[in-house]
Amino acid sequence: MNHLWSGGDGEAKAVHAALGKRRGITLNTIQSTLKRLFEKGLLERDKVSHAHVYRARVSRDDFHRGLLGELVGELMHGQAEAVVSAFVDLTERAGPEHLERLEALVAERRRKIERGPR
Amino acid sequence: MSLAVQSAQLFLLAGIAFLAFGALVAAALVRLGGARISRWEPRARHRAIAMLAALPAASAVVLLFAASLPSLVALVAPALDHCPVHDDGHAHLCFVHLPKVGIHTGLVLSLVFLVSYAALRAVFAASSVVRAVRVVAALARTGEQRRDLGITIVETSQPVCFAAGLLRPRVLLSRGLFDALSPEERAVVLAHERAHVRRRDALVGSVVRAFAVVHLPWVGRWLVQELEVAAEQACDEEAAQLVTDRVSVAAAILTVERAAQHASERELAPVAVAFGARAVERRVEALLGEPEPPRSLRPLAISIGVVLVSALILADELHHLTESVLSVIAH
Repeated sequence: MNHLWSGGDGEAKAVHAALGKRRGITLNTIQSTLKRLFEKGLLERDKVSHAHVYRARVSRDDFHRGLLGELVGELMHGQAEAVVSAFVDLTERAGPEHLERLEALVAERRRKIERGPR
Repeated sequence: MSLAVQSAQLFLLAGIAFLAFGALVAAALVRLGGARISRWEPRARHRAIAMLAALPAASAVVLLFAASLPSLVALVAPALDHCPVHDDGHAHLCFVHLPKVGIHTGLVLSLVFLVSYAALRAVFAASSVVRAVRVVAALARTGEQRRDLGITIVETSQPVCFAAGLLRPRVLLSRGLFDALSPEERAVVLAHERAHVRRRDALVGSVVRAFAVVHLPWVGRWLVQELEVAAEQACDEEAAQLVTDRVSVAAAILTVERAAQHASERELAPVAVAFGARAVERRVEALLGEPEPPRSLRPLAISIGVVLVSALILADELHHLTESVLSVIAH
């Protein structure tokens, strides 16, 4: 997907030349991976002469957005919460009134620090 | 039913009884000292909660071993075997003399139900964890690797940042949040998430969640919630040490929370989110107050050690008590 998102050639042989040789992946594996991604709806393809030319059907942004949605859904309904330690909770928001009160407390503390000890 | 199966049933019943005993002790400790533990400095609190969570499982293992000790001794030194003094109907918790009478059919069915229920819950929990780990791995593979910062940038405008993964945790930061934060705020956020990675909070949290299943429901919920807050606060403190300013860490939490709230209002959040301010409030208020002094858990560790050694010293008495209780409840 990274190869196709960055504008790389979508023919299996070209993908193999760009990635497969360097990583020791066979042309067959590349072909079956592209086919699997096509079947999952992540790629679309055109037939040019005898070969399929693949291109990304979803942008990287949409793909990541979908994955994050899946992750948050798993966190809300599954048992996987401990796997993810988010800086602020992904599934729970502080209400606006709580947030304003806390922001006022931080601002007050900053003013005190700026005024210095008396 | 074979004698070996009847013996296994007795050992299982004893194990569950010890597990229940440990869960009741943990519930009493949480009821009596939970509020006090919640005020401890976060690192000590995190360790104490993890120990409390492990208490039922640890007590089941230790008490079952201690109760089986006389039988293990009889295996290697038959002269010390005490079982012949009992009659055939006795509930032998023994590897040498297998019990002649099985446990009540109702209890057998209850045991089968309990074990199946626990196994099913474990399978569901494990599959949920595996799915989450796979999603995180897919995000990490397709995101931009920033080796200079040791993070992966996820290409989305949603303001998210998290450390994820059990064995090889990594830090993922969304492009939206990366661009929205000032360099100082970014330093706080990344220091906090790196602290999670260094402390292996995901692994500890998963183990505690697994242990929480055998506690009374309200105790399990308390343990999981308190552990999460303690882990977050411990990482806040590490970030505060790095940027040498606790107020900046509090401000960074509120900046990210505010950004997440805007995203939620503009329906940029991935799914509907619940509202609750307790974790954010506790973290910010703790950072604005004076830091709690470090607390040693040595007295707690010594107390646990004394209880364990006592159980081994009183192995004979525990063995007889367990067999007597099993004789009453099993037949």
